[in-house]
Amino acid sequence: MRGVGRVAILAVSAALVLAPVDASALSPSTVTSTAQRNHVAYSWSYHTRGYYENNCLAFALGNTTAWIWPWGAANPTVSQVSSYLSRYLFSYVGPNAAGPLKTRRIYCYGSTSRVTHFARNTTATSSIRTDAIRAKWGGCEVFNHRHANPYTPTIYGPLVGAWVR
Amino acid sequence: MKWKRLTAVLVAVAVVAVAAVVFVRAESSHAREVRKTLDQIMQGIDKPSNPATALSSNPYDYIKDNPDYAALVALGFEALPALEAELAADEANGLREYVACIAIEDITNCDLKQFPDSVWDQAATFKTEWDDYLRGMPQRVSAIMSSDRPASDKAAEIRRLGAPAVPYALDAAQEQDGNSQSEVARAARAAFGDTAATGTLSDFRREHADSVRVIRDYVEDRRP
Repeated sequence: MRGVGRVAILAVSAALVLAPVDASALSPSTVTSTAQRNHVAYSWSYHTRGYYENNCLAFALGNTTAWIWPWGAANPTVSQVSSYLSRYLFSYVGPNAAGPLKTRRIYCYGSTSRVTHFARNTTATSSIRTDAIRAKWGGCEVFNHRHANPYTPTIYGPLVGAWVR
Repeated sequence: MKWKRLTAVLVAVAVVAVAAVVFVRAESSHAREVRKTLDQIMQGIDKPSNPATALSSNPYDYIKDNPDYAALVALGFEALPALEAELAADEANGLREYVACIAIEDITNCDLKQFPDSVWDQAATFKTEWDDYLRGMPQRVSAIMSSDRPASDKAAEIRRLGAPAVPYALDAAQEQDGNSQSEVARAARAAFGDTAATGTLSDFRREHADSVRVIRDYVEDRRP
């Protein structure tokens, strides 16, 4: 029995050594504390853990395996974001748009001259501001928010832009 | 006679084998250094001194005032193939790979995003764009250097293209007048991150002979 066990361990060890490395393995990223979350948003609910293979803009675009940042060191203006999102056929509607709107939506935060963050919708209501949203916080986790303007001024700031497709 | 010939062949084979081993070791030591430094950068990112940084999606926030990133850039031109290999090593396309792209740009003093036709927004698109950029470098430089524009404009264009343009600009400047050569020398120094304000083209060639060879080989390696 002991001999069989030893052979099994050796077989498993050999299999682990010889197994091909999973090239698509993701790198788990920083975990925020509750205090940090409360510092970032007035209301939030945890959705899922984060990875360093994905940031807020990529997440808003529906891409979970890329870190997307088309600009340089300076954060973009709303106009620069509009220009980039037009590649994906998103049209700017503004943060206060209401009425019949297309259902796929992206939101941005900060100021019109310095965008700090992006989110996407989980519900499509008749007003941009009342949409429920989901966002990946930088290198950290993914959170849900009950409405589209959930952030404190400390890190991300208010809703300043919205696009639909 | 037979023994002499056999000995000569064996010695030649041994010399080639030793040279190959030395070459492979030198290459892999750059690769090891690049991988180790990128690992250190990611470990630092995972334990940021400023927690607000971890909440940023701007990759440049993660390398700002980051000594590990400065060490990566300080590896210089020799690190470029290893950095590029990091992008090709697997299908990962995340923050680590993005940082490697920024390092390639910082080492070569070249900002691809300044060009209107640039579309790089992630490591995967950088890799393709950078490869195309370097493949076309000799032609780009030739078009600039053979144009009728003032020497200062040509030098500014060379400076904008970054270090990969320098070997080709030096070649073309051989045929040009003293003023053009001075302008190219100034642009070459800026593209190499050399802060010396003065010096002739010959001075530059002498001072940076090894670096010019390394960056030329790096560009030429991808040409058919």
